[in-house]
Amino acid sequence: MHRLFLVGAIALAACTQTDNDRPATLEYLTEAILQPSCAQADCHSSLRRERGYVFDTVAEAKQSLSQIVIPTDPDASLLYVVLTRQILRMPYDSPLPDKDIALIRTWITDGAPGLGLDIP
Amino acid sequence: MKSTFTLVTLGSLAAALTLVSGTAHAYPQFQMSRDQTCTGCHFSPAGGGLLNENGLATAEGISQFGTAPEFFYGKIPTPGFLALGGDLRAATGYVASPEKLATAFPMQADVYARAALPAGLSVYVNVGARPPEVGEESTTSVWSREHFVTWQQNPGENNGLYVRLGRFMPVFGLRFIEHPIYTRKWGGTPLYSETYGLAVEYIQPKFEVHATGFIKDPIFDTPEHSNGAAAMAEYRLTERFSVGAETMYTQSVDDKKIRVGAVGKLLLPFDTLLEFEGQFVNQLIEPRGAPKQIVAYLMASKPLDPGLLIDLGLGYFNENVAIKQLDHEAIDLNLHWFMTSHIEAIFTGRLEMLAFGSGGPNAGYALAQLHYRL
Repeated sequence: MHRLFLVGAIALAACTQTDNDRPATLEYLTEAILQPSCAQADCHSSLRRERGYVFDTVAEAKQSLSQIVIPTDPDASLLYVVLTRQILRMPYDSPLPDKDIALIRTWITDGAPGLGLDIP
Repeated sequence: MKSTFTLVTLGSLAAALTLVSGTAHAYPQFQMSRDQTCTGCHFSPAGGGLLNENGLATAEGISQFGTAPEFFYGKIPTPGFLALGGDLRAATGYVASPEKLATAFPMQADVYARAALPAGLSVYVNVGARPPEVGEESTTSVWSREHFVTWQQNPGENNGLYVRLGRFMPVFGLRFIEHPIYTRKWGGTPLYSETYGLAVEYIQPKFEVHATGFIKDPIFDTPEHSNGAAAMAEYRLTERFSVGAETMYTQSVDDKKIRVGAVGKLLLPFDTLLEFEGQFVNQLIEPRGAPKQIVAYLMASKPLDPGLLIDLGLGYFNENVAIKQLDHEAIDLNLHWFMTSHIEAIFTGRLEMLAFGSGGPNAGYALAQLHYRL
């Protein structure tokens, strides 16, 4: 029965899917994308702090992203580069969906609101 | 060239640690075919860690070459009230994510002690290595993931009422050993997310109920930043078929999550066990954003003589059901070889896709793991 419910839920969701109208905000990107995909235990979590970058809370992510994002210039932002390059691409264990990366690009292009950085 | 090599080496190590470093839990694959409950083989009502007398006998019975299953083969006698144990793990293999890397790394070094006290009380403590915090390696490489006091209604038995207080993982879901399994990684019980909590648990051969209230660790800044509560109930309709329901609520300074899910286990002919878990997750992010997610896992497991267990798993995770092409799919293949009562070799392989290949690059890994139980 529960499998039928699950299949039904997926089918219903698929029928009402939109393209990519999610909010490009620091809070959304942190909690919906960076925390679950990048802040697992041995990586950019508060526990491990791999390379000094932490993405498991908005406050920590704000501090880390300030070092690797250049507002309005995604191609020059290390965050975007490591998500899209072919060598040492992040996350190692499970690359992000193209649409997550596109949302991050939109956020940077919009000036990375929430980081409090000056737009060059 | 040297710096590139170093980068690749560091990268492969980090990748591998992300993939499979972890902790030893129960093998849910043994439930129903070997025993009806986790407490049939483990001291902890959640399963995992130290084996009880029946668990030691099972470890001996399923292994190819037997050997004495006790702590250090019984060479170090312990008083009757004290149980000791431990787990050591390391792995090597190949990662494609999507670049291809060879890697080798340690996974786990944990020791456990459980002391039975009067009046149905017991103390359980785990001490082990943890991933060091970058920049603070010297002070943070050892910790205790689990330490709790248990009151048990029926001391010496494996059923009845349990009340636990301390640091442990809330009982939720199928609790597979492999933490990259989607229903662990994205299903509320990722690696190192133990919290301080109070659990009330009632276990009978026919059914079990677990309810846990928990708060984030006030000492270690672990990946779990939420306070919350979890509940799970499982009912065994027959000796071969069980169904269960689960829910979890978590709240951090940044978001709230409600998880509602179902589990099922079906023991088919020829000792093949099907296990299923599906969760619907409603996340609320301030100031705006409320992705609704689905995470599910289906595993088929079959013991093969002598001393083998093979698993085939299918994972599904949709990080936002309202948006196209945000679904992840995984196919897992695990082959366990229980050589002796203490030594296990495991082959783990995964193929992973995004939106069935149309949402981004594919990834995967193939790893050989050696596990030694003290």
